[in-house]
Amino acid sequence: MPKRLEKKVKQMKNKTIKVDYIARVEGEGALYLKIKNNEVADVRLEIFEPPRFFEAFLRGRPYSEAPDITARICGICPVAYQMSAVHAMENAFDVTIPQEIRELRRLLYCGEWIESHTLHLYMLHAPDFLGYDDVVQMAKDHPDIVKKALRLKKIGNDIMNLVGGREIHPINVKVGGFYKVPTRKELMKMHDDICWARDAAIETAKFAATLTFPEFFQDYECVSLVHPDEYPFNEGRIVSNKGIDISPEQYDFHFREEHVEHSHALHSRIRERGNYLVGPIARYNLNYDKLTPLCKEIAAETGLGKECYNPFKSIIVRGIETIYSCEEALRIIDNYRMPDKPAVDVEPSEATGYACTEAPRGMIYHRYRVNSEGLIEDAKIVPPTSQNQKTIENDLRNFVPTLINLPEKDLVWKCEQAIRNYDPCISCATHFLKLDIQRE
Amino acid sequence: MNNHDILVIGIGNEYRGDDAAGLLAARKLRNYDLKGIEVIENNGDGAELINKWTGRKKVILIDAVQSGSKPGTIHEFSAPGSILPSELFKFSTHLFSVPQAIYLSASLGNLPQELTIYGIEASSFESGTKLSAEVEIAVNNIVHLVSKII
Repeated sequence: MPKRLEKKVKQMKNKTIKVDYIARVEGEGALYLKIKNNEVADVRLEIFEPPRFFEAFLRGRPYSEAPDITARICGICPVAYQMSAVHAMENAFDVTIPQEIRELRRLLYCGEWIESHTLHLYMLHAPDFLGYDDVVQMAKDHPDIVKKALRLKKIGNDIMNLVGGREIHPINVKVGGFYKVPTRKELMKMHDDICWARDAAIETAKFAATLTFPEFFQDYECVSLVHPDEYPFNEGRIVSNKGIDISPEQYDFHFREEHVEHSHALHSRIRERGNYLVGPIARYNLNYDKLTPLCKEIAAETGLGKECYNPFKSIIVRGIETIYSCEEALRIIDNYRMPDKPAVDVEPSEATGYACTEAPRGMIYHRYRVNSEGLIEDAKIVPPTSQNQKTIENDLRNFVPTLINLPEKDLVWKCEQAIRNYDPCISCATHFLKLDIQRE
Repeated sequence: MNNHDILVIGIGNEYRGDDAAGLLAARKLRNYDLKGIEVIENNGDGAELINKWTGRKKVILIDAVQSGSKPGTIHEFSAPGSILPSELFKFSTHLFSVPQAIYLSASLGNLPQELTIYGIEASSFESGTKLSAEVEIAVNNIVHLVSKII
């Protein structure tokens, strides 16, 4: 039990456990869990959702501002947000980009996946598994692991910096391509670092596999992009393991977002069936055959198999996807041909555009309606966390009964770990902002 | 110490009201003649902060904080030295905070010799692009102060 959390836990006479944290900036996160007769009577996860503000903010603005503005939705996955906006606008205006630009875009995703997965895996999720309060405590016993994680993450950031112009809010991306493209020489300078990163990622996946996992399996409806030739970053059909196979244009016919009384965020559902899963496990299960031989070899070595339905093992899948990102980055750099010009011309028109791309934590959907002057009239942005929110609640509903006899403080900790399987995009750092457990 | 040893980092999110304070301070500082001193912006990602300040001797961080003081109040901390109350700073499930970054960096032995944190007390972190009047004044004050001391 983390010491800091322990201090915050108060046992109350009606068996309510309350953990309070001061909310800051990216919103509020809270979990309410009611246990009655040793069964879970109610689970409510409440999260704040930034995209709602951005949807309103985008209205009336030129289409060309969408990439830069949406990049600000998330400081850790700006690429997926901005590239979804770019793809949606290109879909609206019927823009086709050359292969060289497409490859650079995939390289940008590689950078984002490396930095985001590494941060989550080592700095946030591993301390949960190893029983540390946080990465600061973990570093005291394992400084070399943490140093390696920082270097690996930095290489991801360096790729984003080189291609995106800036790592935190890439500013070099525009509808139609880039403002400036790197030279082959500039990319080749990163080659040795990325080779190191690939080897470090292999060690990472193997390290993740040494952690102890609860025997917990769920029959998820996995949803991710599927592309005929590649592991999905930026393009593909929306596919599920229970029969969905649609283009992004058809998203709204099959998925809907609903207001839930206890949450500021909208919950996404498959119209016919209900909750579903996006993110590393969903991608892995639907795209295993598109992984490289090395990824498959390491996956086999870690005991992962071709499919995974234990959400706690998402930490291994993140390791495998980090290997993939490094290999893909090397492939792109080795074969790089500088585009003739950094972007193709774009002629806006009155149209609606749709796109889905894969953020490290799952699929993002964007839809924009643009008028004849190129101004945005309507925007819809569905982030991965709102798609997973109902599934996180279901996991807790099914996971908590296996822990029912644990002391409350350990139960709180296990719940946090289960939520962190999803790398959710909500405020509250290493520990939950507010967590109530009521027992009756 | 030469100017390349010094780094100024403005932290924040420009779409969350007063949280933009650090970013705006960084942008305003660039209007001064800083004789080659680098000024960067960061969203509060602690791991990236460590990567940025490793190898520097003197670092100044400017961030918005929330402690219950009067909005616009400027808090000053130094590391190593001050105890940094983590609840003052930004939290997120997929970032780790400024205080964590400082403690982690100290543990890994790459903390700059001199690290000063200016926390500007925020009034609101609601979605939006406007600073509160008190925080806007505080940003101008901190920019003036930092331009004098670097």
